[in-house]
Amino acid sequence: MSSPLREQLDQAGKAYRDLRYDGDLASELLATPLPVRRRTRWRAGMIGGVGLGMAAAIVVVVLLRGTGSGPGISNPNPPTDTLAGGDAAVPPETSHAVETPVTPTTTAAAQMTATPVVPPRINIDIRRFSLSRPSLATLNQRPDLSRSDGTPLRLTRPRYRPSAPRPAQTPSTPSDAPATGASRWLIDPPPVETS
Amino acid sequence: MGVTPGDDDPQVLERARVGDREAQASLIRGLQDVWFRYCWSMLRDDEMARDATQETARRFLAGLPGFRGASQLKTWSLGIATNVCRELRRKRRGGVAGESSLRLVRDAEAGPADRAAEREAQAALHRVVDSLPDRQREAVVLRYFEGLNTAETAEAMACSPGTVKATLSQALRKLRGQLEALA
Repeated sequence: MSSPLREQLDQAGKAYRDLRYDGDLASELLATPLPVRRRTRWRAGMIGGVGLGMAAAIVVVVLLRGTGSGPGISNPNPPTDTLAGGDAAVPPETSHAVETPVTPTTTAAAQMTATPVVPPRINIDIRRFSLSRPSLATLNQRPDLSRSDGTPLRLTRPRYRPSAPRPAQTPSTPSDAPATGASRWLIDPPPVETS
Repeated sequence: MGVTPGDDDPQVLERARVGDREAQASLIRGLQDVWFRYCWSMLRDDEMARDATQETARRFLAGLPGFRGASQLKTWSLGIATNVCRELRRKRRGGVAGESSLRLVRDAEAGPADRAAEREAQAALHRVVDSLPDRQREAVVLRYFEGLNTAETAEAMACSPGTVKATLSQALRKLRGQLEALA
């Protein structure tokens, strides 16, 4: 490098090094929290909130179990005599959460024979049962249809008409039994009085 | 008072790496003028130079735990400043302030009044340096103004020492030619 240029560069370097940052950069930067720390604080707050929510949910469930009597809340260990029957099978009306349940002692278990008694064979004609019929006993009773003057009502089945829509399912019940589905009992008109 | 630039205190550096605010402040105070004058030479704008200096300091603090001490702290941080200035120049492409030489000459006016010719020569040199391409200006500022050697300049510019030598050779040739033309 030529000497004049070197001298000029040195002089320019001196002027360059006189430049100063106006202010205290450290206090400007470090006075405010760094973005990384802000992110960490936000994450910690979120984790704490989730944990608090879970703890609150657990407390609510425990309280419901202690006082509740809903369908899904029951005594997981019922008394053994419940299966044997009798008055002793009724649990005492004490709170299971407070006191230890007392299992009543009965002689029902001692009276049981070693080998269970097999009931006699029952012959059931499965064809007598209609699986599609509801098992309500009142459905088998004919309605008591009588007029106010005492004359009985005659119940007849409707006649089959080709134009009428066919029933979707053929009833499998005996002819003397009241049918369900499309079949209906109709009430005949009152008899005409002829004098 | 911060640590002297280039004279890394291992204890201060270690404390700063593990998050000691006092040690970090000491390092920043020792390097803030280095960052600012370099950024100002590259950007030629006061406001942008301040922004670049602050961004350099933020990245410096963020990258401090990963600094292994393979080079001097000043050299490593000037590499950060170089990247920041390149990004800002890319955003501000086409809008060159052109004020650098004026400010430097204004600062030099504090000297004796009988050195008018010298001040004029400096102003001419700064104008010529400002007219250099970005890479050549980076090499000249780091090598001759900031006083780094060729290897340190290469590390700050993220290139090889051979590239630095070639870039400097081109820059000096252009400086010499333009100064001769001005004379």
